[in-house]
Amino acid sequence: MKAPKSKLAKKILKDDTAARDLVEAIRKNQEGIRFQGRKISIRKVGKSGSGGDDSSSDGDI
Amino acid sequence: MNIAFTTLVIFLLVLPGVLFRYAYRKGFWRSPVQLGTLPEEISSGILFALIIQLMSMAAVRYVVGWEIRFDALLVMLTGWAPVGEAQTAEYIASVSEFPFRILSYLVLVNLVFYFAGYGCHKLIRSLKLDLRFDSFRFNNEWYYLFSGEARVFEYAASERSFRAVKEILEEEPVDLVYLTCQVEAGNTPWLYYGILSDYLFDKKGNLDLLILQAAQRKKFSEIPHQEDGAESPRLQNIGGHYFLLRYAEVHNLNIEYIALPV
Repeated sequence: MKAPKSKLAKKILKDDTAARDLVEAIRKNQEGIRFQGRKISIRKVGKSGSGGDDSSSDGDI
Repeated sequence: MNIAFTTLVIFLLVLPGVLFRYAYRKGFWRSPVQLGTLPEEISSGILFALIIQLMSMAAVRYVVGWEIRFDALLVMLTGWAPVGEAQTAEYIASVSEFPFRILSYLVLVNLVFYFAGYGCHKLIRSLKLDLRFDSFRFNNEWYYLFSGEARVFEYAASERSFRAVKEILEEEPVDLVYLTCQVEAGNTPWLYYGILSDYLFDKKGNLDLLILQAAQRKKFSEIPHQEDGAESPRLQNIGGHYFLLRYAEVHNLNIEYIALPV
């Protein structure tokens, strides 16, 4: 079954580099990525507060 | 009346109930229907079939005016006629005289209740009854988990009104699902990361494959301890469009629903 994916997510996933950046940014709890010259925010659904660059923590699981 | 004929009659009578239940549980999902134990399936199939047949027979009687000969039906089901051969012959004649009516009844009832099953499924989903009441929840937990609808179940049933459920799901729509999977390869545990693209089930309805996009991985042992203060090593990118992970090999699975607000 198809997992949910918005139009923007599909666009990002078509770009290999942007997709890798996105996965890395989610893992590291970063606020967002740059994609086609604009900033895309990343937010974990249902979690309060912004992610912020949290690369000092392992951010793995 | 031989046993094969009686079995055929029972099968034809129970079939609409089975089709209705199948279509109701399957709905418009691609995942296969997970069947319960055989006694459960048979008992609920017979119960549904009984209700469906009674409704259909009443409808046929009042709408078209066809009389259902329950006595003849009983003889066909049991293969036993208490009133002698002449009466048995009359029962058989009452069936054989109207083959078109019987055939059209069976075809119509099966078709109507097959599509009614889909209709009920759609109705339940449209009214979000499966998200509001546990008794209506479909046996498709992976769908609820991977679609993000499982978030609703965090709330008590009394808080899950139609409007509340709609608000929970629409307030923060899920743009993508990010997975972290711990997989053992040999004796080495690995962490795989990626965006969930698709997930497939086996014939029994168990989750079989997770299909990831932009997949990355690293060894579990490479996760730095927080007190080390070490930078987490960059992940190994896995090339290719899709990465297939067999669910049977996944030890732990972490799901994160991600929103990409513009």
